[in-house]
Amino acid sequence: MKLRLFAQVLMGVAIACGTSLTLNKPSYAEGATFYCNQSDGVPTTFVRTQDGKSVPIIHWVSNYISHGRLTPVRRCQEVSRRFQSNYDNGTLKFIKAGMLNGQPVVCAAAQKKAACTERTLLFTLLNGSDPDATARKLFDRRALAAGNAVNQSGGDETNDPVNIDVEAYLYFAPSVDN
Amino acid sequence: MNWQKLTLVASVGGLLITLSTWAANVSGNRLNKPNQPRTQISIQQLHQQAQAITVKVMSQSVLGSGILLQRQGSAYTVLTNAHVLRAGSPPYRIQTNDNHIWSANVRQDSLNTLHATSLQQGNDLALLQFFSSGYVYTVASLGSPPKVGDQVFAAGFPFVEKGDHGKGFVFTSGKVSLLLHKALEGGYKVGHTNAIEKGMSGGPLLNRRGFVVGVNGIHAYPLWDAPSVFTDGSEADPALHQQIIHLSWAVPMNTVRSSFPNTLK
Repeated sequence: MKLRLFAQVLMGVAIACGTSLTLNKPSYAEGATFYCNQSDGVPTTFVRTQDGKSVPIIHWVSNYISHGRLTPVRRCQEVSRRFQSNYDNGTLKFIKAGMLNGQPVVCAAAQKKAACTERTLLFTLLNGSDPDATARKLFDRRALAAGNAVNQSGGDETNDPVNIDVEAYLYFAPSVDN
Repeated sequence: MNWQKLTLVASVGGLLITLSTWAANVSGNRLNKPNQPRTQISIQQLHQQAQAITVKVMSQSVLGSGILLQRQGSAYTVLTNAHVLRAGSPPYRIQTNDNHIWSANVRQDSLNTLHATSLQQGNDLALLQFFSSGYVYTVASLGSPPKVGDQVFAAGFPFVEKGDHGKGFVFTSGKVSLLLHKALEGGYKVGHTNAIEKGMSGGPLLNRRGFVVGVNGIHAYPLWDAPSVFTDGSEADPALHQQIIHLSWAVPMNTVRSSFPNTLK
């Protein structure tokens, strides 16, 4: 009877040790999760790494009332989803700028020279904005320790609805939801 | 008989204690240690020194940290990372440890490091300048290259999302774990075990004497995995890559000196 209790305690200790040993060495590189959440009222794309840390990477700010389909919240959700699928497919290594359908875009790339495609597209930018600088800031966020998440605005530089419609096409093509 | 045994045990015990203490003193090249302990600044003094020379770098919001590098009259030069300035747009501001906020501009000899679109084209360093209208601040003392195993300290201002206040000044202790012969993109060569957090980029890496030996810019455990790339464009092999991602990284002071030869002797 005493022996059985002793054996149980021993097993409990062994399990606890084994668990803590496993927990102490997370293979952090696997299992990053990208998601959209509010941060101080701003829809924000976050990444949660294996070791449990949640880091904001893009704040989706908007300084005007959107008449188009893409509210900051929807944009945040769509782009977070694109980050996740690129990560799952192994194409989220580098982040680069490019052109897609005549629009400046930021996309994921498995190699630095890879072209932007519909699948690797992360988000579009307005004509006249600096896609290289935005891509650079976003890639910086990966391992460099500056403080700020990237602020990305969805159209507050212009009230031109045409730009919003083009963006909507790129997100929800080819069968556009109404 | 019992007394003899007891004496024997006590003697052996005493001898062992003495031997182990002596061995502890011998380790770490202290064979020639004089009777008086060598004067060395305390950790608390080191902390104060780090706090005096570490600043916040801001534009609209906090971008990261910086180091008070030099004073010429009331003109102060601040060293930080190029990627810290990339994280925001001018005009930049510096907050010193007395909570004064100073308007700052990028120094002429640093402008080229910012125009590079990729780190490969330059070192991840930048210089700012502000005029303090008479306020006097401590500037950094620069140290010689650290060795693997050296105790090193990191300082800076980690960023927290809630509000714009941040965590306040952080001072950590660790050691140099890896020194690369070939630098990683941006000039990173000193791998250490201090926990660098977002916001601490541009802050100092100090040695045990309180001298600045590097500028921190890379935290351990990147958010998603990408190859470790050296300044020559080649990639680290898998084993080295695993070592690299478990460490925080600093650009060594020698690289700072060669990047800004007109500023630093």
